[in-house]
Amino acid sequence: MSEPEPAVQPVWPFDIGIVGTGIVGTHQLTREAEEVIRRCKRTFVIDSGYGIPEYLATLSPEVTELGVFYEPGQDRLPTYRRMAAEVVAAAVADAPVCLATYGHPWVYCYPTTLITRAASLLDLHVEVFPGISAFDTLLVDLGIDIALSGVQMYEATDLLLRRRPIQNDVTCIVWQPTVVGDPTYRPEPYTVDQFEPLQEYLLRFYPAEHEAAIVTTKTYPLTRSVVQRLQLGELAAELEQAPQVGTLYIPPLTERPVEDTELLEVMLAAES
Amino acid sequence: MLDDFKQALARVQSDYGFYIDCQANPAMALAGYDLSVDERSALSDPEKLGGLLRGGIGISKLPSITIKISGTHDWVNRTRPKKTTTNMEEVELDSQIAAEVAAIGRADTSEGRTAAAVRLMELIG
Repeated sequence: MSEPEPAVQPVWPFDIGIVGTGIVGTHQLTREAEEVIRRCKRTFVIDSGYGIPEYLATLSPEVTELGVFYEPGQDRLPTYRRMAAEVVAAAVADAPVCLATYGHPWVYCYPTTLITRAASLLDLHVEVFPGISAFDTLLVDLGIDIALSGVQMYEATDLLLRRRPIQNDVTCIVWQPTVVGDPTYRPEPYTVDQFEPLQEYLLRFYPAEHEAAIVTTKTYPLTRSVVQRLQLGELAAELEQAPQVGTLYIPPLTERPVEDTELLEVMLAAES
Repeated sequence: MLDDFKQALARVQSDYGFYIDCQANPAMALAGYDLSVDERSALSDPEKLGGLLRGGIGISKLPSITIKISGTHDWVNRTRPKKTTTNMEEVELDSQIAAEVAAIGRADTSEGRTAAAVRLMELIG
């Protein structure tokens, strides 16, 4: 007699396992991610961090670096398609395979989306395993807890494209400000003009003297993260000088007052 | 010397005790490595090492790009306003997708399978 089909598909076995390698080298690779890599026949890696592919090679019988598909000055979309195609094609030929990607697989990682879409068409079972994301390390770099004012996060170019409204009483994190408005991989530095639209847009919500910070998170264990304080009115000039990496952190300008005083009384009464 | 420097950098990734020793007692940790003065000091000076790694010192086979959302573009929301598609267009797209799915299954070489998978990706994302 055969086993009855479970109502919910179990995690194992799968055809494609997608794991995050974290931000700071192999030290943030989870035990779960290591097990996935060990148990897959082949691992594809999107992570240019020094020593990462070498370390993965100690876990996996075959490691293929997908970073070679990046081309300076070229749009990244065809690169992502090629990366996803490599993984899917390998899974069709000889599953299970693993994709090990920088950070967290569902945090700004388009190949995960493409692979998941394709897998449903090809009847492949995909499982995604979380990694330590850039957001996680950012909180450590800044030493903040998002519980007090909440948090809003936008990608810099997307912020401008859609004119997304910003709540200036909520912590704001802007990803990729150092490459705003450029869809390509470009090794050369930008001029200040590249960053002025972002500065102008942010100044609709904050005064020029509001203090913010550009955070450059460490990506190798022996280095340190850098938190560069600045006033938003100087943002474009500071980004021109900044390395081509970094995230913009803008603390709240004001504190939103309590509206529901009855609920506040209930909450305070419970404390006493 | 550069080879020993690379080996020390790689060991930091795989040997957590060595990573701690590089900070707590770098002279002892690095005693067995043939390093220049600059290389030795970089391994115990986070700022100096950060500069070396950012600048590229021939330690990676890959281009010196950092793939992450706090770095060069790895993501952009390409969603455009929805355009109305006719039933005919949807049927045509579904048919193209089905053809590429079949091509992936049919391919008898790795190159052929990957090429069909790339065409599928172009249709779905």
